[in-house]
Amino acid sequence: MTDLRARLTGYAVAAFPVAVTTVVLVIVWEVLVTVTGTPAYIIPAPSRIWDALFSGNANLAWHTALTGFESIAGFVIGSVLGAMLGIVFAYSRFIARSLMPYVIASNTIPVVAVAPIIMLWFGSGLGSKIAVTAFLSFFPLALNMMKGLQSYDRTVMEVFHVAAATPTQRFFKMRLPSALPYIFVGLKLNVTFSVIGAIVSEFVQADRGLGFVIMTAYRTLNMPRLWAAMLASALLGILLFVLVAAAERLLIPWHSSMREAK
Amino acid sequence: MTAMASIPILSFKDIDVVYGGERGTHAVTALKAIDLDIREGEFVSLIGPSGCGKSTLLRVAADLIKPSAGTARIDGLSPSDARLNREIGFVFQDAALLEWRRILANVALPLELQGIPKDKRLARARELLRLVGIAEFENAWPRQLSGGMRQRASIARAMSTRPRVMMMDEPFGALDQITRDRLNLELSALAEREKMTVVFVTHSIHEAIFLSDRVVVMSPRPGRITEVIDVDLPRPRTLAVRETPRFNELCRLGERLLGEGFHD
Repeated sequence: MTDLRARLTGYAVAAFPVAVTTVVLVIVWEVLVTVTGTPAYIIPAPSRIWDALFSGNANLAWHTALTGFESIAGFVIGSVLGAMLGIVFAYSRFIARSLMPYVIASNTIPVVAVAPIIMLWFGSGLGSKIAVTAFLSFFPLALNMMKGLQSYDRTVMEVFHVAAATPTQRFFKMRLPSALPYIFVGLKLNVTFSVIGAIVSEFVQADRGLGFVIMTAYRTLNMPRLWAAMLASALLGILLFVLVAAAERLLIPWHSSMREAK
Repeated sequence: MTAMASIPILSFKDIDVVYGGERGTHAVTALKAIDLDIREGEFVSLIGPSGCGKSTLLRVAADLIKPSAGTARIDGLSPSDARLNREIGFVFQDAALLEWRRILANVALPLELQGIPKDKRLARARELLRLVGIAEFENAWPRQLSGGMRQRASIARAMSTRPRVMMMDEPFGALDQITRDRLNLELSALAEREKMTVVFVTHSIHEAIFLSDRVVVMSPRPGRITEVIDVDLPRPRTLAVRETPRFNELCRLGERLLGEGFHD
């Protein structure tokens, strides 16, 4: 319990500077906008954005939750597929060499160009949003999984050889644990891309979600609502990233302890 | 020596190891016509300059390299069968611990791979940690230990399956002199108490003489055995043995055999 309290105190100390900066920034922003009389369509005052967060015909929290669901579903599907491809690549040089160019090419295509095609395939509902998101949060883990599985220590491999380990044991007890730090690099990138994927797919065609809110706010020049939606999408991205980072701390304690030691 | 003890537990017969040579690349003969028998319970060191093939010979015995010609036998088995029977323990220069496992689970790894039940293998691992003197670190991460402690854990791990032959490839090569002396002393006592058969690769003639019953001196290009020194120093050995005239005499003999320009 004291350990938990110490950790919470540690987080509070770490968060203190950014909290102070945010409060000061918001106050200065509010005062400047009010004093100079800057119109809301250029820069809305923080108080107007705050109001917009909770007003409008549909609550922004509901749209955010929907986009969050699309992000998470796409992230999970994309990550699972990416991980599987990464494993295949790590074990077969031939497959890696024949498919890697396609995977890299697919990653360089702008998502706004792919999204309409996927929309046509998967319809205008939730499925197509998740598909676009999965498409975007696929590549980083595939690549990092492959790199991670190849990053094992050669002497450790010889330890397993002398101890007569089976290929399955080598995978689960050596290569996969060695790959975990890489896997989390991939997952953190994936989770960031997944929010982008969900919002971009809502730009293309949707009647709900944060992307839809941003588009309609833009067309109606409702700038406080646009800024509020931007804020909500940033908070969503941060929340998902923090969840993955927390899982990382939990799953690879030897890694985080190593970093703290430095 | 009884008749039983003179049956070799590890034997090399006419071993050649040649690297490269295919597709017109330059072939390098790492080992040429090596014959060597090691008896049960014997402590044998392989010593020689870089490129003499001493590590290669050890790796042939542990089934980490296939010889180009000749045969190695461990307790009558091929290296591959002996490995699958878990009769080989191997300690590398790098402790090669799994960073994601605490020390206890690291030491228990070979037993885990063998399918030994958890309570049994952890009990054995604890016993080994006591034996190598790091019982209080069973819950530490490898990163938290010094180089000497990591190597102790690595030795405990190699001993876990009670192998017939323990092979050590410059295990103390990366440690400072004080730690090295201490581990030499403890390894000597441990090998004697546990009646281990050890093949030990080193660059240091002092280390080799101190630890061994026999020291195999090798020379490079191609790797071959120059001479075998019988070490007739009494056991158990303490660091004081290094002050005796006989110890120094054997070291000088070893240095002479290793040739000019050899430095410890």
